[in-house]
Amino acid sequence: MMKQFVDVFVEEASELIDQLEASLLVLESSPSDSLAIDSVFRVMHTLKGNAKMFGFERMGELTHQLENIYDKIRSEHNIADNKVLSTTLSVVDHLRNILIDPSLKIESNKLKQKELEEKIMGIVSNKSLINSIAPTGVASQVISFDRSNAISTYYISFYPDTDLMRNGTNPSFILEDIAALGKSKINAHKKDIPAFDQLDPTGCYTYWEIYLATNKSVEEIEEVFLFVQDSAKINICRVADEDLLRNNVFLKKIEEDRQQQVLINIDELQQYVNHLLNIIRENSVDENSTTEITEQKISILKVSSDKIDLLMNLVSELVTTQARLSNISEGSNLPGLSTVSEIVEKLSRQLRDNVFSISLIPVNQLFMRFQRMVRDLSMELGKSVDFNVEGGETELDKTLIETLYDPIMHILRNCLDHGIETIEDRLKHGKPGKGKITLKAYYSGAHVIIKISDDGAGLKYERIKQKAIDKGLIGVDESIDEKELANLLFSAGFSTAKKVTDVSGRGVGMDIVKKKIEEIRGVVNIESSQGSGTSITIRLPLTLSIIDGLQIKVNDTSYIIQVTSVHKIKVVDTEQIRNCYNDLIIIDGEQIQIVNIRKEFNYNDYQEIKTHVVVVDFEGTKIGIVTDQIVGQLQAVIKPLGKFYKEQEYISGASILGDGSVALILDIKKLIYQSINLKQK
Amino acid sequence: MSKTILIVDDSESIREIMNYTLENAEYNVLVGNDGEHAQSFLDGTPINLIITDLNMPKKNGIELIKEIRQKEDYKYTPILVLTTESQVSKKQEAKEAGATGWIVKPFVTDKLLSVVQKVIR
Repeated sequence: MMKQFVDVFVEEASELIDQLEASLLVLESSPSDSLAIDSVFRVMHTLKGNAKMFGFERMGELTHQLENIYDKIRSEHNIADNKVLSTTLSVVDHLRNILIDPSLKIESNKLKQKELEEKIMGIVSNKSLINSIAPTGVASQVISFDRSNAISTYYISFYPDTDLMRNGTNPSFILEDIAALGKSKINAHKKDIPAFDQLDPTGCYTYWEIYLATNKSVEEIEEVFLFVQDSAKINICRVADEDLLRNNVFLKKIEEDRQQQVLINIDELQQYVNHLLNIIRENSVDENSTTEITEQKISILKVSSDKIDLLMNLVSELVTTQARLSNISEGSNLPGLSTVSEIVEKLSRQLRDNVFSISLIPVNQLFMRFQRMVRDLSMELGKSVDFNVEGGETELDKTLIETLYDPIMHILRNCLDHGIETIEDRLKHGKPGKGKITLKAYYSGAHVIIKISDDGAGLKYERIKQKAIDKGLIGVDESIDEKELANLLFSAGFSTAKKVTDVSGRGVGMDIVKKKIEEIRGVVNIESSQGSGTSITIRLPLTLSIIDGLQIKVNDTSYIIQVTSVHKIKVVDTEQIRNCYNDLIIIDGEQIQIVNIRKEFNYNDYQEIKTHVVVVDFEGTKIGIVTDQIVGQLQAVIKPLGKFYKEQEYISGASILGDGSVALILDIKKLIYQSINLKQK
Repeated sequence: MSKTILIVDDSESIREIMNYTLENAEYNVLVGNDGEHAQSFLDGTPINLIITDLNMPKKNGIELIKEIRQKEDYKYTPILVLTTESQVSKKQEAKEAGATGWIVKPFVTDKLLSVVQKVIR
């Protein structure tokens, strides 16, 4: 067998094993989920066939037996019990080892293979399993027992009156609240919006169809619409007792129906829903043909990451060259040149965005890896935890995702070990025995936010303070607020765990987390309220190498500010800056704190009459950055500074401008932070 | 930028508890003792939400809501009214006058915040 084919198989198999693990974890929380059982069966089937072809006989043997077990469960509509699931999960771990050590040269692998084969045989020959397979009563009992936590899919139509917004109601909040109840697909129907000359901007002309998969009750959904019951037609209808939004066929159907008339007639609605359910049933009956085809339809091309890196570099060069072209065309009156240069600029921007999106991958690939870890670790610690992952489809640069694994892993370990209390402690404090950890990703401007929150004990500020005093980080009498205390956790060698456990609290932790995240230009923040939980937010740039920048000039030097943080630009009298008190000026009737770059960099005062102030958002407040002049907007290719400049704080890189000169990229956040902090001290 | 909420109630205890709860949740709070007093805040000051009681001396809640809806600056500002369980008809009357929603007395502080969350973010 040629080695290259084996390599492809190994890669494919490890993806399949990941998929298998995910489905098993789904099964663990809802044992009767037929889609998950199907998926487990299918993966086993594929693995078995392929493994034998590529010389992984051991893998073939294990998966062959398991396939039989799941086939039985599937065809007899049974549930996968704990014993089956935990055995399968151990097999999953072992399969990964087999990929590295196919002929079981390592002694421990050999023993494991034997142990697992015996376990599987035990299940196959176990009478109790076969007995429990037959009566459907057993299965339905389990289902109804699990009902409170089970997910149903709802169809909701929300048809507001035109004057809905005129009494202060904001329909987008309602949609947000609905989306917060679970997983949702929201279709907005906009065809009733009148032509612009007949449009009353205070009117609401949009209506919505929502598909919601949630474990909440109808009452809880109705609660969201409480204030608009009289001013909208609302229809809530349970479509199915399972999560249909995980089904690709259903998702496709929703997408197809998107542009159609909303169904208000309840009978039509019911018909429609039954129709949908039929489609799904049909598909699951001959799942070997249809479902598999629809799932495989997304064609994926595998390209080596070296090629993508090269492409990225070329695009960076192109962007720099394009800036030169723009420069030349501005200074020339050659007819047609400016048109060509503008088109080239537009194309290179599109090309840039496209190439960047190639290297973006959904964070789900990262998040999936934690599911298992949280499960195993919570068992080990004897804690009960609900682990929720949201926003897995959010995309992030591949290199960022790789760097993030360790920091997030560490944070999750901390959540489990220190955050979530033991079951007894939780019950004592009136909390549900099962803790909750949420891992969530979402876009915010040109950033991706990853938020890890738990509903555990929260930070014990007293203990942190004592520790900080002991370590000499703060003075005994120093007054320090909770936010500053929380940030002390990121200092080197800080651990407050009463005893060092195997899981976390080894004293190297949060400082490394912070350092790693800062290496990829991210910011990490911690918030906590004692008794009710902690949340850690990681804020990351979408891409690493090209930014949309605003070019400014101070003392004849060019600097670049990231455009996404810019709120507005104002021209003010230099006199006003010179005479301001406490660094506060008034812009558009609002008092704004300013940071003067000339002052920070020890230049002389600006001599011109007018000064440009760039207002930026800084942690929720607006700060005015005082510059001499605004040059314009540009795409800046970030180049690292040489090692001699590594120690400075304010400059995060440099970029080559169209005329060949260098502009420094200002790290606005650090500049503001330092400037304001120094003033306070 | 924290949001500004105007609360209007003639009962001091209700004002205090609402003021305390909302300020703790980092809202900017303005306090009116009755409908007439509340008017003095409605001078163009940016207000993101108004919470008003219904039964008040001098000017009752319904009248206040109607007047607020006449003002260009506050025509579309969300208004929540404080009602009791028994006042179902009042709820309706308030909505017709232009209220956005209601908070049922007695309420716990969490409930107050969750209702506020329904109308402003």
